[in-house]
Amino acid sequence: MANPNSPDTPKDYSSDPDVLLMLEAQKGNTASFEALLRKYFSRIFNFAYRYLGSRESAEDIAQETFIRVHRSLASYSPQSKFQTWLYVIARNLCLNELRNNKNRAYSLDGMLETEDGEMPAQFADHNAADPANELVNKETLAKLIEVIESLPENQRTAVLLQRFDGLSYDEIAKVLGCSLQAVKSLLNRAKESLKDKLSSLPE
Amino acid sequence: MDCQQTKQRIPEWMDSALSAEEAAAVGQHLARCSECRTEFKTYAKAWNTLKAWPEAEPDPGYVSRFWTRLSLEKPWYERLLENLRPVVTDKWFAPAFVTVAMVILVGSMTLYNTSTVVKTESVISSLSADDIEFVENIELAENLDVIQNIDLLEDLDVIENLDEFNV
Repeated sequence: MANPNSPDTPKDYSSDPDVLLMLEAQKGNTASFEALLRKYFSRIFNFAYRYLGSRESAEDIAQETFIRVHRSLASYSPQSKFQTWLYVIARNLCLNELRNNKNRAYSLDGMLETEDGEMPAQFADHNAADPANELVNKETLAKLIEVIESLPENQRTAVLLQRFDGLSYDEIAKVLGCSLQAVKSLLNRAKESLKDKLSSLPE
Repeated sequence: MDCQQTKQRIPEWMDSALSAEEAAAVGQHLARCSECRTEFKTYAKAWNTLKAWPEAEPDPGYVSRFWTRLSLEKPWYERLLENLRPVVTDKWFAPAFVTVAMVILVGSMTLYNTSTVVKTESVISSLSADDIEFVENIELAENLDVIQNIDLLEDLDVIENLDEFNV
């Protein structure tokens, strides 16, 4: 009898509502696919934006991710949670983008620009309780970008997926194609780097 | 659990990724060790600073841009089939198709007949009175020709057999 806890045992992902939407989309239900698009597009866009630093590339990566998902509809068979699969595709596309543009500058372009020209880079932090901390200054943001860019690719991916997208260690392991222990090790090293580089920032 | 073991486990402790037993041990150590608490606060500050990175909104209209991009990536015949599919599968398609086909068939035949009549009339209108008379009497003319040739044939026969008559 198969052990349901064994890693080799195929899991049943039919309880994942996103998988159900995909299976509906597979039958030709366009509304189901569009529901997934609306639910995840912004998340994939932000993941790619933080990963690559380019708004234009992020939009392109997010679009291409869903194009790939749509192309896979006919042969789709749930092997993981839908969002895990989605991040695998997005991360691979980001890696390709990095390889194709090795000399690109990480800039978060457009973030400091508006239609009226450059704006002071102050952004609302929706998590801040103290109104005095509600604006993140340009220095902090620039430092964050610098620190994230300085992390090795797999550490960067693990940090973005864990901190911003709320993926579990198990899901991150699937996205990165490594073991759970390797993810723990990656995140520990990344947090060590972040601690060293971000501790000098003002409170 | 000593300070070194605690510091190693702080990142995972922050993510609740330790076993219940280990998490309890780290918590107890932090409660009594100010140095490790400081280390934990430094980690937490860096980790929380990351959250200051704001979410960016994708440009509006990304849904329609997606569908447009998807349709443009397909070959033209697939796009055509996709556009036709809802029409073809409609319950009214078969009767409507037969009706339109009949209308086209009858219309084509009517047009053909009309054009033939018009062409004939234009030919007739271009003929002179003599031509018309000739055309109208063409059978008669052909018969007359045969009759005239009969006489000739008979005459020729008479000439060829003249010797036999000159007895």
